[in-house]
Amino acid sequence: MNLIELKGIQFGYDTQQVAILDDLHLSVNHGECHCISGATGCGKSSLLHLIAGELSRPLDGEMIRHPALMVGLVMQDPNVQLLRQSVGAEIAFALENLGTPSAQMLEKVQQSLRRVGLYISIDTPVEMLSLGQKYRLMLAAQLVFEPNLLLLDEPWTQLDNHGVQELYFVLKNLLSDGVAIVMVEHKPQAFGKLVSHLWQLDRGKLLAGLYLPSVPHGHKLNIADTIEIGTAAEERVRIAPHRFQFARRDILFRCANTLTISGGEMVALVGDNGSGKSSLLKALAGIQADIGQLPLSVLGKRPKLGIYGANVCLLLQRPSRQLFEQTVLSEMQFSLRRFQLPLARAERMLTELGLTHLAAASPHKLSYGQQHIIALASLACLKPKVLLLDDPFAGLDSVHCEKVWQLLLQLRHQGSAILLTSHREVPLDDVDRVWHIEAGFLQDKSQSMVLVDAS
Amino acid sequence: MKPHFELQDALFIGFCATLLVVLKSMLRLKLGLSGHSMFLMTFFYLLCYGAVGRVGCITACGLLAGIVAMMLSVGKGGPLILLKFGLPAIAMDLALLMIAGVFKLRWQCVIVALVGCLAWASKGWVENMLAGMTQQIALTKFALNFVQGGVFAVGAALIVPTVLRRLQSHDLLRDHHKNYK
Repeated sequence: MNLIELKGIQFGYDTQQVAILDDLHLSVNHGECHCISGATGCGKSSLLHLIAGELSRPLDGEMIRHPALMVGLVMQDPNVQLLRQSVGAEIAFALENLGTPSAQMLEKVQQSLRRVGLYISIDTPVEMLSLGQKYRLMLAAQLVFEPNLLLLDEPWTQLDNHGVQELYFVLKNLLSDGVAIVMVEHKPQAFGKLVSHLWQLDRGKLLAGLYLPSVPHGHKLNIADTIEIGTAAEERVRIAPHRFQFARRDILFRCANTLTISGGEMVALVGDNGSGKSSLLKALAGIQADIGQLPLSVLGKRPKLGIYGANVCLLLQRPSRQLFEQTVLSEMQFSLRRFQLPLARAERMLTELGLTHLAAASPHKLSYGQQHIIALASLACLKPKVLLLDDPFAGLDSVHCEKVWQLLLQLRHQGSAILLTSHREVPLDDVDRVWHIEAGFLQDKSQSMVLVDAS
Repeated sequence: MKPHFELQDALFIGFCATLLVVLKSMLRLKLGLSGHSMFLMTFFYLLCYGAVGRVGCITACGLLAGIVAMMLSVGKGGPLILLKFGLPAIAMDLALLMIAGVFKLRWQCVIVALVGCLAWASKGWVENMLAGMTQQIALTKFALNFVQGGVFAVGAALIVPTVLRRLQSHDLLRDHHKNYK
């Protein structure tokens, strides 16, 4: 008997919308690794939630579960899954619910932490972890109760290369132990030979093969374009030498040289999970607490919440944190109305991004990737002087990534200074400069990268 | 109407009842305005109806709130506080049996709120009559209470559809096909 079998599943969130899963068939057995790819918002995450038995909405079709099925699920945004305050308590939560004797818990918890490569104290507060570390924590919290079916939602997106490598070996061991894995992933290549079944979710059906949309790759600006925007080259962001640390904590990183971003420049900030990228961006936006006075300057002022108006915008790593209106269009128009800017910009932006079909949808019901692009579009409407973006490509397929690139290049062309973070290397062709947080140092590595490229 | 009464529905009824009593005991507003208690009561009862959408959910919420208030000694009614919370709830449920689906949600809320207020004012009228008040004064007091309570109740009823729409947009309502207009 299969671990789980889905026969002719038909499922939708709303009667007014097309069913996102339509006559879907899937059977998963011990030791199999299924990878599902598909366009942003096509229903991949919903399928995982459905398999996990977490969606209680009505559905058509048949779902046959093995009596011994034990499912572990790691969602795309691990924050929505976190329940407890400390790392140890979070992992032990499942054990407590399964009635595991407390004497056995400590060993199991520490074993799970080691399995996912998290070498931190079990007393570490969960809020101190980066998003990538939280993803690993949630993985540990699932592995601790030894599920026989593990569901993973876009691990490549949330983990840095080191984390993906560690996950690879964890999954390899799980598969050899007979655990089945179903993962949703835009980059199945990262898990190479582990994947035994490759699917693409297309119009509600699972088809064999990888989702490969045709992407017009023409986002690179030519030199003439770059010269045009030279007029906007006033200094917008300045980071003087400093040590970045939270109160009563170790130094996160040191910045030895002054770093600047001018108008019309796009800079990528690259570093591993937990290196301090998001904290630096929040500090530049003036919303990071517990870091004391740092020699940062944005638009000639020390960053402070509420002093920049529409001139400085920050895209958070968790887009759901900055979405609050009832429809996508009203969400995009909210800030335009507040700063008395033309409301028509919102509709124009949706048209440019090809997202007009989402205008009346609730932003809270969208997929992680769709929320990301809507949150970014809401900020881009304002045409800010400084745009701070925390992992803007998370959860997006190649088509939507391309749309975001186009949008960012358009903003750069209009004179915005853009700082975006990534836990993966960004090619110098795509951005003006790359800053790295590496081995505890924040530095501009563009010059050395250019030399390496030249040699 | 939903086919099954589910755990989430029961939890939401309990949540509304508890929050109603807790807010009432925490705020302890001495506004000197008769009927202001109808605001919170109407708001939570109608919210409960909008989210759970079953006959009897307001009564369950009202009786539960009454029991919690009685146990925590909230208000001055003693065991009779059960009536204070329960009577308007029962009246609202009965009204819904007759008008559910006839009007748009906004008007439905307003009518149900006024019926609840009528029951609340009637309770005061019966109390006054039992205390030996003349019929003329008791009726005048009843009319005054109804008008004052009605203002607060209608105020709360007008907020409820907006709150329901917001809950729906956050995917927090299980009856997701319903149009809260």
